[in-house]
Amino acid sequence: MISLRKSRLSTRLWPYLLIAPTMLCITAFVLYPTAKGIGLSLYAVKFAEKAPFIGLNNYKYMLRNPSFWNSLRITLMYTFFSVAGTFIVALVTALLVDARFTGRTVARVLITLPWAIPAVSTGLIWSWIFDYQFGVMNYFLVKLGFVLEPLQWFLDSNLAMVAVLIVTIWKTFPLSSLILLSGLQAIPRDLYEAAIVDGASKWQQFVNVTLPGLRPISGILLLLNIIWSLRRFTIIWIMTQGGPMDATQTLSVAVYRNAFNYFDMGYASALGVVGFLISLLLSIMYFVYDKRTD
Amino acid sequence: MTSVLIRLCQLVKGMIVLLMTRDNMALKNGHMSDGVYGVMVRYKDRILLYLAVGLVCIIVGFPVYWMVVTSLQNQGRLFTPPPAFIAAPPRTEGYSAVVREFPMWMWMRNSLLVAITSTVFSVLFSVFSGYSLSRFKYAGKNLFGLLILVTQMLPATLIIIPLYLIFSNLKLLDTFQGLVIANCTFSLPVCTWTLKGFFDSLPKEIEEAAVVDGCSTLGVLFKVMLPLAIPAVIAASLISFFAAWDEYLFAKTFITNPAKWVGTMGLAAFKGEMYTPWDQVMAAAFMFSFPQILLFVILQRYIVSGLTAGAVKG
Repeated sequence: MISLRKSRLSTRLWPYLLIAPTMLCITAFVLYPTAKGIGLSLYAVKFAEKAPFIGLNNYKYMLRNPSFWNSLRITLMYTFFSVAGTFIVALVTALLVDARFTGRTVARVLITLPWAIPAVSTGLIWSWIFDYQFGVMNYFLVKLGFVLEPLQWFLDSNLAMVAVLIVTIWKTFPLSSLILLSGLQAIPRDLYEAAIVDGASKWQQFVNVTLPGLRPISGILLLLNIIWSLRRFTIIWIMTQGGPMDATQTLSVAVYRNAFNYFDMGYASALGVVGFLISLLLSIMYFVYDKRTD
Repeated sequence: MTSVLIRLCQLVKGMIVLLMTRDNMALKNGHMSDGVYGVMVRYKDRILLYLAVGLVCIIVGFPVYWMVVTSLQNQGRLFTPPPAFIAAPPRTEGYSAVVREFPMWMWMRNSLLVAITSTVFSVLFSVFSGYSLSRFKYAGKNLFGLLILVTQMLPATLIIIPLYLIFSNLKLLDTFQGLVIANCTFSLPVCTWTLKGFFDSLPKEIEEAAVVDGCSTLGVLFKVMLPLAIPAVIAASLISFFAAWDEYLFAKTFITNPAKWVGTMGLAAFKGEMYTPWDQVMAAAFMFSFPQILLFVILQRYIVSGLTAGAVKG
């Protein structure tokens, strides 16, 4: 009898024991730091010393700071174009490697290769490609007659953003493409047959069968891509360090610069909280929408 | 600008129509499942399809090719336009110079140490937590699952400042241990959900039989479940290894001692802090990418199944 009770107790303890290491780790190094980060944004922290409590002053300063609004605008622009671009390229490539042809496996590996290139290497490769004097991008553009003379990719605000976007899309589309491919393969073939019987054109089939079939997976994919793009740092930092003239300084880059270049950790935390709120808001919107469509 | 955009849209639309074509042709001919419907597609579409595939592969693969060619190129040739698209003859001075002049091997060894330790801890802990979330009913389970899920959505930039202050108190700055912990904050939740998703797909009867045979909980997990979950374990290991190998923000913030630099820091320093010729930079970039490319090509199919299991079910 005693042994039975003992074993029941341990059966009830097991799940907690199993999840304990993960939960402890996450609580100590993610959840607690998050709470602490929100707290820090209310203090005038300059590096790691005792700091006075200043309430919402960091936020007031932020709202009056044109540099914050600039970062916010750039973050939204960067997120929108990189996520949209990634999605379109991923969709086209997914359709492409879903087709049956000889050498499909090789094509699939080649198209997913950028995912396996580390972000730091990616930044370096493309910095060389976009090099003003000897870069191969300017060579092609001039040769093909798109521009008359080489472009100063990293000195012009708009061009720097375009360059960062191209690199971001190149690096991020393969993963989305793989996920969309699995979504494509889950669309029942009879839906296409029915559409053909109804006399739908190819474009109509795409709009009325393929796209709706991809909707469930596209939702979570877009959400994840937006969140990843809000936290992206390495590629932007390696290529432009947020320049020229802060033209590619997204919120993540701004947080890093304010915290570790200007040592204003309180203000940087306030910027981090803004990024956090955007992610949180989008996630909540997604889950509400997801629940409703269920 | 607008005309370019319109052109691009038309191009995308044309490509989609082309790609839809091969399905239709197959469907019309009623050869959906016999695996030969490629033959039924008109030759014109077939050629267009190959052209499209070829073009996309060239555009996507070119930067990787360019890294390799540049790393093998004669240094003088790099700075005399027009660019050379093959390295003839290929030379390895870029590689020998980068290994001679920079502690490239030490950086990579440090990266390897950090990445393997991060992977072992996050996969081991995730096997436990994934199993717990998948197979048991208990108070707080939903809360734990939600917290682990939400963790993935937090921007790293919000936790990096408090983490810096916490590590400075715990004397974890400038240590590999600190870096491993920071990496686990990302990979633990991802791996937990990947493994949970996979455990969910395994039938319960297998374990019940083992329990009747007198296996303990850990016995069931290690002797019965884990061997079945090998694909998911490989996927989770790859995800956390790649994430740790590629991690730059935490390393840049927490590590200052040059003897503890990891690969990402060394590579990043080539741009800005120290002037380095491009053939050497590309040699270093390729050396650093190589382990990831190799693992990716060998274990590709596990990544796909693992990631989609995590992404779709999570």
